Amino acid sequence: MADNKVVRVTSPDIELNTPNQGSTCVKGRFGYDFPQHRDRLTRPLIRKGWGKQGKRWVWKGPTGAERRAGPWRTIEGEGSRSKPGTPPRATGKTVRGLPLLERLDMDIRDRVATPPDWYTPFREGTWEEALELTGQELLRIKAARGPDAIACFSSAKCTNEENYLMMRMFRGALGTNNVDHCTRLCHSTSVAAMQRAINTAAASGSMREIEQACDVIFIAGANTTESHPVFGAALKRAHEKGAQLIVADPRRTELAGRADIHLQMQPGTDVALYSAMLNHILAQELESKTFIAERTHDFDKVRAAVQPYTPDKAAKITGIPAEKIRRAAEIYARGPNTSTLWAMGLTQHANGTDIVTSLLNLMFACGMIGRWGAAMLPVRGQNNVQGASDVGAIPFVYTDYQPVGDRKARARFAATWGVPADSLSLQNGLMVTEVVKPESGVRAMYIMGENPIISDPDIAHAEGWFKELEFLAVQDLFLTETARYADVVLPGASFAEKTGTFVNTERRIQLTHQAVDSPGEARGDLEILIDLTNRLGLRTDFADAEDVMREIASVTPSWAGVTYARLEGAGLQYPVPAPDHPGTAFLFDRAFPTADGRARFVPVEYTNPVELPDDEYPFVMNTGRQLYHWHTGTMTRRASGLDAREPTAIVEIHPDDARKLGVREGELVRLTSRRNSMVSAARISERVAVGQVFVPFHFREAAANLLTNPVLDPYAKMAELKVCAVRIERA
Amino acid sequence: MATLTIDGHKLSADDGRTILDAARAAGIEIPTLCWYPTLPIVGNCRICLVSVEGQPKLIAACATKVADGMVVTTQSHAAVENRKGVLRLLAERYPADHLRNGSRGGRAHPRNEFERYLVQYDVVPTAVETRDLPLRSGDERPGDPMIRHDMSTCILCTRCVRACEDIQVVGVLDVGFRGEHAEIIVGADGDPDKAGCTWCGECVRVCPTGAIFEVMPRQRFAPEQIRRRWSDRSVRTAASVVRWTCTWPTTKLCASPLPISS
Repeated sequence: MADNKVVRVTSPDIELNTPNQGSTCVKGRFGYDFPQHRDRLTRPLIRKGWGKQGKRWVWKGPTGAERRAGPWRTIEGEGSRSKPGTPPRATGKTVRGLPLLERLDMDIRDRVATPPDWYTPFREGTWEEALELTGQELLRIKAARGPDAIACFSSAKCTNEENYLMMRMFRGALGTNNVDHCTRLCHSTSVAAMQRAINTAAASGSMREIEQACDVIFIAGANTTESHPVFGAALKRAHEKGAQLIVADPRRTELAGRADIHLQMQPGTDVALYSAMLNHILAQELESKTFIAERTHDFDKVRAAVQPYTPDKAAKITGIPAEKIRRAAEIYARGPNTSTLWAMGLTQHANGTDIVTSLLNLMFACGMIGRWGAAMLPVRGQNNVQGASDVGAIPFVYTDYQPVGDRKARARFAATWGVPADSLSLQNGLMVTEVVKPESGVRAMYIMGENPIISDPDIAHAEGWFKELEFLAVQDLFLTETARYADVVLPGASFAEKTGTFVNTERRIQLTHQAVDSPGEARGDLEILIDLTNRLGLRTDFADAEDVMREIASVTPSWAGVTYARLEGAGLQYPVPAPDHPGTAFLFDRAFPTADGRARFVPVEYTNPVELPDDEYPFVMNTGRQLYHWHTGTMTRRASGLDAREPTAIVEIHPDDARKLGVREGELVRLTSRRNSMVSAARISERVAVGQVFVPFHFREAAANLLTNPVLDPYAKMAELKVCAVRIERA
Repeated sequence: MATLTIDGHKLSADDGRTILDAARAAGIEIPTLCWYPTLPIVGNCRICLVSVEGQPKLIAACATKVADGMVVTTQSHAAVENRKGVLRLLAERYPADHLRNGSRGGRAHPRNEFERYLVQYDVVPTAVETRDLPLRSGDERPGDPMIRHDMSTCILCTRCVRACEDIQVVGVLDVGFRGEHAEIIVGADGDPDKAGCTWCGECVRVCPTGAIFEVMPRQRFAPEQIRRRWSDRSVRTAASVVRWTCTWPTTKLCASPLPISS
């Protein structure tokens, strides 16, 4: 650091034996300048129109459609507007001689920054005003419309302590379980499938075992080298050392390109593929009979269910040659140690729970779990999506996945928080995708560090819904696309400005220390939540994050042994049930945490994706991430180096399709789905298959989620973000 | 388990460990340049050579496995003279005029790992203008938004090449040309994009001289902030260490002819 600014980011020395082994990803190493971006909010913003009458805040501004209006284009309008095509990539020799940084500075100010007129509907306020207004309105709406008319989106970017306080505030002070975060649009289907099969929801193994002890790596629907580059490099090293690599992905990603077998299926046909693999394994009698007999039940149902899915039938559905499916199945089953990884490619479907279940069935039938080297790793997408779920920022559980409907758990939490037990709701709350619907009954929202107006499916509708709210408070670093509709915007703190803990994909709780101070009057998120909880009438007197962790440890059996002192260094992998417990590198070596200790097989049937391409919408659109950006781009697009690499919205099109459409690299195309339409620049790439296009979802000017299908998974309420049918024209 | 003696200390080390591992585990410092944790061992810089009893020649501590009964001297006359020789040769093509103050009674300010060894072993580089060989060159990534090179300070330890190939498994960097013309190249034509670079910055991390450095987001820093000598301050965060830096790249940037806007 220098002068209270971050000037360089490195990873801890290798000797500390941290999971990163000294490496960082491009976003970690070069993305650190966003906290110092000039767009950072430094004082609370209050929408003009709120004024004080005596002791109460009242809305004096316009009502109806004008209530949340502002001088900006909606995401829908922004999407269908024409825009400059992609400039040449800003790197190396291609731009020799240009004073590039000069040009970039200018570009960043003009393009990425919050447009100045977005601030015009707001006035700067004091913390006292902003929190008083927020507290008053949340309590008023609770009294007028009941606690379930209020909901919050917590944040997988924030620390465990902050997420815990958020759920404590909503459950303890407001009496509603409407607490959720972006796990809903991430691994919620994995959680549902894993809960159903083995009654838990975390990775079974560790990342390091892939490199140390794994013979076969099966990666399904995860672009690990771009979305998790440090882990991606470990996978590549394992492959170099001789592990076999099987990749199931509709796109030819970097790992797919180097894989021993790339199963390039039609998007959304995963169930057929995994069922066919299991079918072939059973036909060859390669299944692990002892594991099935001793560790599982209900296998016969699955045996019957996969019977019809011969590799030949699956070849017709998935488009993968039957021979490849057979070979992949044999390699998977022979192992001897096969690790299974998956991510959004499997989960973000309207039948995501079934897809993950069919993969779990394959895993259990081959006994590829519960050994060092045979890991089950749902790869997490955000720094703390695991932790935010672990500490209970989801609608149906307290910390450690204790159900909210369990009266004993409720009594424990009520006693800890000092509230009467019956003030805590026994009803499951609403999930992210259910909240943003007119029939949800939610009239007020508190959003911490999320940007649903870019990340929710079918955002044209979502944006309309947010405008109708009675009260909206947003706690964030920047005036995001969502925050511009808020009544109150509370400036929070970035990763470098807070102390707390995160949980990574291998259940490792890691401690982060404050490095710099927040700019201006921006406050730590913990401090904001403590203050607000007190105003809502729930006594809260935590001195710091460590204090909060003490309370979390006291109500979370598997974190009971966690203290800040023990987290220094590489952190701990939970379960850590006692102060002297060393943490747990892998789970399920003897039993699963179900009632009888056995895993349950759940038979599933293949169903077509909800939208298949037809004459009118002939392409299948797939969405995902790019290497240089993260999520809705609020942070990475304000990091100068990263933004220079991927400055504009693109859509990847296969060269053959591009030729048919007459589209050249960098030219604008219009994508239209049954819901909406938008303009984006074409990138010609063989990474997508013929008939498919890929759209990253980081860009507000061409937001992929304008087009996506809001149909939901019946179990986890996940939206079908990965598959929708689109039409492409030159724009 | 092998028992050996290093500089008079009796140590035991697992079979398969190197002399360097054993020495460092016991807190005995042996200088290294091309060696780096987790990178494959190439033993090309020859600065870690030590004397071993019964061996006619010096041997590389980083590349030699321990053996029972070995007696190692890390600071023997031959080893130290060899180190000085190696450093002198490397310094012959390195812009180290700022270290020559040391010979005139002033204080030398080493700016990186390599220069610290020069100072430690009392090697005074010859003045740049009196040399026969030019400074090194190599691909420089001009205009790159995140990583740049200044190959005049490269000492060809090839840590970056191995980090790119063996840690990140990308293989963008390589050594091109031969003999005195050898240099670090980026892909086949100097374009990192075509070579598949992912801008992971692993090369920046391992470089011992700062020849490969990261571009500071300069628009945030006023010149006086960059020129300041910061006190050493480093804070651990969950996934990364954030720390101050005033090594070669920073000073180089403030000497840059490009204006620095605030």
